[in-house]
Amino acid sequence: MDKLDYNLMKSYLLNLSDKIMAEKDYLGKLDAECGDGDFGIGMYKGFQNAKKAIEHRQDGDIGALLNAFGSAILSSVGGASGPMLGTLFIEAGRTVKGKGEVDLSDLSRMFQASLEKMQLRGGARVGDKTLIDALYPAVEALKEAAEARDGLRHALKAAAEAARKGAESTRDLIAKHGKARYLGEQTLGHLDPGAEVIELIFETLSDSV
Amino acid sequence: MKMKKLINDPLNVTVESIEGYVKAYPQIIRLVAPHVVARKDAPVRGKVGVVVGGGSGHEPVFSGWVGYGMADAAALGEVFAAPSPAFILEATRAADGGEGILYIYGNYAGDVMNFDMAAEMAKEEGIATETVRVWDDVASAPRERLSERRGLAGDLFVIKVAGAKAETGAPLHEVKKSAEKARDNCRTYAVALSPATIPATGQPTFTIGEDEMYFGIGAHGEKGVKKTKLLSADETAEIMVDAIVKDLPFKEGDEVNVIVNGYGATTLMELYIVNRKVHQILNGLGINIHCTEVGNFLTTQEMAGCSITLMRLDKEIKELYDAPAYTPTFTKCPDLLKKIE
Repeated sequence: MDKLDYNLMKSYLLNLSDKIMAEKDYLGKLDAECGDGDFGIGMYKGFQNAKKAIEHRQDGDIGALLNAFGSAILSSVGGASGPMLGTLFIEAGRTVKGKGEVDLSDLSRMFQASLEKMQLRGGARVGDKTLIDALYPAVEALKEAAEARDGLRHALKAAAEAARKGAESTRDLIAKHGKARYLGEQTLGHLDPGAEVIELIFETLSDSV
Repeated sequence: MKMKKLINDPLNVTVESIEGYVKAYPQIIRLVAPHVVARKDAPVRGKVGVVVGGGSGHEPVFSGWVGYGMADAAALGEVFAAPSPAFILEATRAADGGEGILYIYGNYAGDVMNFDMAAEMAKEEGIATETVRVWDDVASAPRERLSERRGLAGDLFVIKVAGAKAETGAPLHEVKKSAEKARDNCRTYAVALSPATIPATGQPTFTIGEDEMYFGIGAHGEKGVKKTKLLSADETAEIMVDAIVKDLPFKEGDEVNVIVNGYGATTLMELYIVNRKVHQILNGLGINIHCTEVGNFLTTQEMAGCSITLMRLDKEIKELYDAPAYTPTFTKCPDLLKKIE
């Protein structure tokens, strides 16, 4: 297979929502180590709402689907994660407005657009111990695969692996953003929960093809 | 011992708390949306609208200061999270009297992102906005990086000054200027004795020994920067005031307003004891105190601890702070005060 159609994208997003909701306690625990511990609940509520926003859609427009998904997250999560993850899906959707199916080159452009807008809003760079540490390498992997005209399955596997490695790398970083940044070196040894969510996003996407 | 709270479903604390708050003060405020409250008579035409907001677990800050002479509307997020752009936009529309909107909130990544997004949306609707972020917490970043500091109880001073300036009918850029001046002259330092718990998780936000205290604590229970054995109120006040005074710096001959703020679980008795020492220290330094506020202004659920805020006054800030205000949790009645003094 070399394309994701509307139904597959929709079932991916619903699947992803279930996965993230199931990790509520784990994500909360990670957040409590360097923050205030409410990240898991925020993600639970956000993806629960996102799920509701798309489960009955049948318009066949992947861009509109992603926009509805992201907007629901943006309006229900709040904090720093709402704008970041909401923007991720909204910008991805904006790139493929009106399309009924997306291929590897579309996916690469989608997540590239997400990354750029998220960095513009949040100001984080690789190495700051944020979700960008997982997103950036995943986007790079997709870009490389698209340029090399790789197969979709192979490319998504590579992106998921890059996201996983990126998330793992946050363990050895000192936080430069969010509430964690005030803890300085106390953040060493802890995984960033935002990066874990990015890992889930790409892992689930890879599993869906 | 796990903290017990008087709540229903922990996931509904914000919505229910706001509903209950609005039911308590229907003469002053109204509910605009599940997470948004506004002054009863907002939008007030002919004046800048002051919109404030942040997490809902710090009551009374933000929603408690909506009314005459302070904020026109407030948008609340979950307990320790910033409100979403949609709610901030609703607050913006509710407060828009045609003269523009000033956003005032604590300097946290989430609040900054959500308010900035709301400002973009407001602009698309033809509503002009300006922003003043409160960053009074001296423990969170060095003086060279003021704009990286967190916002604490200085919120009270900045919102009061801005609200008073807006009531004079001043244009948006002047209201912003006065708010910035108040912000720039505020310094705060906080300490915690025991943690808060987030209702939805039931977990404490940090761990601390039975005999310890945390200096430099954040408003969301973020771990403090320095842990020590429990000191006396006087010793604690000395460390805190010293850090604050050195930071601006405050000098002999300065006139200040003071806040001794409780974080939720600390008794008024303790806050008064701390205030006693604060006054002794400032008297010794030749710093004159005009107005003192002692109580719970920016809390963190049931965290035990306190913060001290000093704001250096000039003629304008002093008058604006003393100007009349009427909100459910904060009032200033200079005419009534005159009768007693």
